[in-house]
Amino acid sequence: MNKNQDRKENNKPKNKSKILQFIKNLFVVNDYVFDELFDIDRVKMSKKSAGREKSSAEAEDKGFNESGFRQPKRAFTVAALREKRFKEQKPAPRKPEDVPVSENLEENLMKLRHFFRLPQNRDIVIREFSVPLNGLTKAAIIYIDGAADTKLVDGFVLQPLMLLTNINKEYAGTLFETVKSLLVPTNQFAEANNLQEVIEGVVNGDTVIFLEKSAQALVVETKGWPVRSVGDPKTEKVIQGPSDAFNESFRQNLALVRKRLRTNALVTEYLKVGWRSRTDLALLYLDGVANKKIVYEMRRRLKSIKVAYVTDTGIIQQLVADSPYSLIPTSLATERPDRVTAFLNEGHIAIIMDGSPFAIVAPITIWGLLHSPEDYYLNPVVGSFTRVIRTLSFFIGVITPAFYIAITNYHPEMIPTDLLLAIAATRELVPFPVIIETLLMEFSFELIREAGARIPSILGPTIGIVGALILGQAAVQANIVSPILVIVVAITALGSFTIPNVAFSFSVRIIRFVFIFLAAILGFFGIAFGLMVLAFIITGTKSLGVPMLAPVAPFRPRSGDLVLRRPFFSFDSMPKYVEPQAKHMQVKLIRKWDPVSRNRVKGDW
Amino acid sequence: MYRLKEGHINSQSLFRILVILVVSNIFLGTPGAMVEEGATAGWILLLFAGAIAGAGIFILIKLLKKFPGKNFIEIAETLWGRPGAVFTALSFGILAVYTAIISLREFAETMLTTVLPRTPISVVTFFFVAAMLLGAYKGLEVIGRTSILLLPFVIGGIFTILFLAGNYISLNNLFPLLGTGLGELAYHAPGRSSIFIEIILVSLIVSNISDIENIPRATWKAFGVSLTVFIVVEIFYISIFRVATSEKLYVPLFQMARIIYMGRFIQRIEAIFIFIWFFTGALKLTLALYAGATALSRGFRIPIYQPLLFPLGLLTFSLSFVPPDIITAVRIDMLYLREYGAIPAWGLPLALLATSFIRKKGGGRPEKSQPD
Amino acid sequence: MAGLKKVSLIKIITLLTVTLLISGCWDRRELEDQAFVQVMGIDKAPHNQILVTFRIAIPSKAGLGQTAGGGGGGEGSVAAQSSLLTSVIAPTIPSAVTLASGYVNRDLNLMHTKAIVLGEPFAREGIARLLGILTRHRELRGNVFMCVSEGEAYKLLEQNKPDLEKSFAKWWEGVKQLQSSQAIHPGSLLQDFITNAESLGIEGTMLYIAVNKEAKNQDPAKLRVPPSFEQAKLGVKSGEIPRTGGNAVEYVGTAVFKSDKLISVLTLTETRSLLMLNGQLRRAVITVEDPRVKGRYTGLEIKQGSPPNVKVNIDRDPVLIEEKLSLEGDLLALQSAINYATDLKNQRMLEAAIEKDLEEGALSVIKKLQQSGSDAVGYGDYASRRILTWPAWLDYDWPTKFKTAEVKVDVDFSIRRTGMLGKQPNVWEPR
Repeated sequence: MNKNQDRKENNKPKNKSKILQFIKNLFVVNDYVFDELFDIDRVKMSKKSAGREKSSAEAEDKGFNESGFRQPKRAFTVAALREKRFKEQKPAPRKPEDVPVSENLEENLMKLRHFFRLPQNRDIVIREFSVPLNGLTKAAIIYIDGAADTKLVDGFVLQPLMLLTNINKEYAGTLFETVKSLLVPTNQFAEANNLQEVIEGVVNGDTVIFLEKSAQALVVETKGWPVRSVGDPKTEKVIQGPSDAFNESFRQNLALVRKRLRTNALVTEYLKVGWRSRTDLALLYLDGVANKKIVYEMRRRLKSIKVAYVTDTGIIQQLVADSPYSLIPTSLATERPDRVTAFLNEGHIAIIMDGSPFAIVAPITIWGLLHSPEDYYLNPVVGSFTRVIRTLSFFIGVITPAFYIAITNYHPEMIPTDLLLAIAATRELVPFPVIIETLLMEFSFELIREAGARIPSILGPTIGIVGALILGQAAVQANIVSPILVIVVAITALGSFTIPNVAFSFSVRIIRFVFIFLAAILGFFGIAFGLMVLAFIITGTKSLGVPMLAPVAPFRPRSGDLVLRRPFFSFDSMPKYVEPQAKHMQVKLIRKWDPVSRNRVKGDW
Repeated sequence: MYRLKEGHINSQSLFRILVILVVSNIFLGTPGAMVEEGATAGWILLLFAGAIAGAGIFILIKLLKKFPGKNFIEIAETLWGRPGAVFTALSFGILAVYTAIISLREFAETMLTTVLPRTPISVVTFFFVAAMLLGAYKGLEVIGRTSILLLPFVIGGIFTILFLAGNYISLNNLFPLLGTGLGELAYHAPGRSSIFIEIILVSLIVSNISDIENIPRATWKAFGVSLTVFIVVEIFYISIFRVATSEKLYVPLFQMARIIYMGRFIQRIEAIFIFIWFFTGALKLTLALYAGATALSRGFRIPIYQPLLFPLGLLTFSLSFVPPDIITAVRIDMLYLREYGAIPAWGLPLALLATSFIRKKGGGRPEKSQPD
Repeated sequence: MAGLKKVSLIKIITLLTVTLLISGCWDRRELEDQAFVQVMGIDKAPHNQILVTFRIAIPSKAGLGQTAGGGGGGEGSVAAQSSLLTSVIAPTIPSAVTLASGYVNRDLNLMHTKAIVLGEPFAREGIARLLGILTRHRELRGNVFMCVSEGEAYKLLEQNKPDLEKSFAKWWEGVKQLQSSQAIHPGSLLQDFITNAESLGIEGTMLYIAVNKEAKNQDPAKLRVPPSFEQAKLGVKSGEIPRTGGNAVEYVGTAVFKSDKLISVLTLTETRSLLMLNGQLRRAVITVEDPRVKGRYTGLEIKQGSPPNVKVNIDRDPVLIEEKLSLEGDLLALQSAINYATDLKNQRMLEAAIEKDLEEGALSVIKKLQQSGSDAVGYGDYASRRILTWPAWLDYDWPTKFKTAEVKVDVDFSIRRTGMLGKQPNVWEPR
């Protein structure tokens, strides 16, 4: 065979290729497909040898073709035929932007079939029909089955065009104008002049109508993506308060926000991110309240995102973050529309993305990460109490194991003597030093937590009980850990669970390990060092230019809403750290009917 | 002069920075030195020292008011020309780095003596230097905000110690009232006034402060608060420990923390106070290093100060090991830095002010300041 | 190329740091690797050495915690069984610690030392050489309880077998606490002692503890009643309490020092008077003979009404010290039918008797102190108010002046409450 002739110089054993050729002959299919499967007589082209051929023209002169094979100059070899067919297979498609909608319907449809990879791509439906206007005009619609609501397509596109053209005897200029303004009763439309716009419309779920002899196409709104109904928030549950949450539908999410802020000042700017996914992104803010500079900055950052595909707002968070490696999150992801609207009211901005049930609020401060909406809905004393507990639990979650290590190893004088002797008595039986047993227990708890996140919900609580109790108890009885350590680790875990923000609680877990190491090295000194470095880092983090620790540092006055919460009726001035344009959130005196309040509020109300 | 845009702090940050700077001296040997020279009237000595320092600050504020918006180096440049600016920058820088070196050594030694006896001092120093470099690198804004955050803890911690150790006070220990006599007190006062020289930091960072008109108020407030804290601590210290013991004890505040005994549970808790120790020490060192780097960079027209940080930090680290023992270190602090350090610290503003009167310069509008 | 350099720089720094830190956490000591000393005793030893006694807790036998085994049963107390008593002769305390670690299998840790007991011969000779190390040492702290023992300290520590408490720590805490509730000892901590000893205006005091040799005796009939009980004066020192059973060690009374030497021992009543004069009396129970019926005693619980008012007049020679005390009390025990509770005339009489009694007690203590030349009350502090400068105070030489001072004590006593009963039960003939 010719192949063997080609390979004579290469000392390939003859029997091998013969066997393979025999097998090949059993399957009489396209040669080139099979050859590609078995890779028989390809020489591995190294970079060096590829570089040797400076240009394909030069190579062609020498008898090498594009894929790097030396070719005899005969055109009828199988290999040559293979090459020819490969070249003619499919011409590289031109960019759809350059292709205008032509007046010839068939040409449009053929190009569209080419761009949409029909007929392999079965989701795309092209329905040709005729419109009884101007005689019988040929028309066609193209839509994606599943993306467009077929009821809308049938009822509001096909039906009027096919059946109801004679109801309206008016005429509006050209056929296209008639169809557009009189015959297709959909609530939104757009005109497409080139195929790029057509394609965009189709992939977005709209239906595109082509008419013979029209150099434009009509893109009508028929979006009918599958959506979930509004459900409960999965991560931020409150006892008293609304329980509707964002879900993956863009429209529903925006509707939930609009429902709560029925004002014309609420602006939703649409953007698209991802050149392949073209996901819708909305930037929400209250014009007149939000700081223009912050809006501008956020818009600038969003517009500069050039990725192929964005899955979730978490990715957007990282792409627009001030410092992406920072452990402290610089924007807040929340599922609750009431939180989003509260923040919008104070001058923050929100980002909602199609396909993600989490909205992003920026800029935030570290106090925002520790707040839960329930603090507002209950009375101020209760709200302050729970907030104080939560702030303390942040510290508990970070420092407690480190404290335990530092106290037992470096500062045993701090423990009352009897307790000390009791701990020493139990530790006599444990073979590990305190650090090792702390790390063991912490690691096991992290395992339990991760496992608990993956377990199907039926087994979830069981694993929790099994893991925590039995593991801890059994470890104590086996003298692997000392009993007081189980308490320490349990309290730490509880402390880190009370943090409302998921990203922040992850950071707390990581920081905790750093503190454990620092405490193991230098006791309280190490913990103090860690706290100082943490203070430096947190105060240096900025979220869209707003320092994370505002308004404690650097702004004053307090907004009354940090750790302790003042009563709602005293929130009359806006929190200043976002520097909003509006000055007031409330009138000075809300409870006009209460003489005590009237006395308390000075000035004229 | 081309200078990289730096962060700004407001006058409240300034106030807190200055308070922390001065109050950090309490943690070291100052109360003991007061008792040594003034016996039961150590606090009166502080009053005298405060008076002299107040005069010095007054001169400084007057100078700053005369040249609003300009910092010290720029004023020196206006009055004395380029060599003046270089001289001022160098003296500032040397003073700052000297303070950093000695403070670093003292804080590290204190840590070792009190809580970590077996650790080599290089490790402890290394951690201090690491925190110091991080803070100074991040800039004045971060330092200011951290001070705002931490100052309540520091002052609260000091007053907690005083409150809990207050069991042991007997006011009789403050008598005889005048201690070693007013003459002796007045003689020692100028040397001791250098406890407050850290306040001249304010003159260096004027260009970083956003509300310039509040600088005098913030400075006086800081001075008043730190003087009050000093005097209160001194009074408590003498009345708890009596003269004879108090002039011998090594770290006064720590000793007071050690004797806290309120029942079976609240005893031996002095280790908690390591936190405020470290915070104060690290902040003071950070500010000293920052001051040195900024002074040198402004004096020599270097647009940013960050590159100077690592060399200065390394210098501080290695030079802090020069004193062979803690006694020498304390003596260097008390004698050379504190007694002779008062001369350039108060002397320079005085000289500049005199020059400005002679040459009739000054006044003018402040530069536009950036909002915070 | 720059990226390559940065990466290896980070690696180098990380490796260096990790090496530095792995080489050992120098101060990390596990709890179970240390031996915690509960009590320290110090005695004289030949050739200027000291005999240091350590009582070291054995946690596994302590009977505390769930996994401790053994303990209880047999003779003696759990506390004594769960600790190790050992004595070492050494030049200084740190060298004693080093020597002890030669046979006790762990590092000795003095941080939890509750009390330091000094032997009486050692205290009489002068403990100046000890005071430096006690302050300088990192692990010993100011709230260590200071005691002087009658005889040798190690003998006393051997005999100390707490029965109610499971650990010595708790026992010593109890001792400390009794100062405020019963005023039986001065409750002196190291911190107070050293500051007092160093200053001119006051002298240091310590608790005086001793072994009661009669304690093993279980027969009350054989008890020896001290002569001071004739006048209902509880004038007993440690070791003299007439009792049977219980821990042999008693801790009433004060050891008064003159700078660093022990010079006199005060009894229980004298201690109470001293505390009264000092202004440190929290609560005490006094017994006074009934002014109208001989042989019957009234008991009252007294406390300080307001701080004592001391005036020292140094312009005359001898110095005049006037102290006004204001005390108040509640009636507790009335043994006669006389109605002291509701009859105000009787109350005045009782109050007068009490005042006389207290004044006498105070003066006798002051006389005893003056004879030994140590101002344990602290009148010198008041005297220093009159002097302006420190060098003048140093020249004044208060201890000499105190010896010849004239002291006047005036007690003002008021009965406030009478307990839960008004008149006495009507079982006597009214007399």
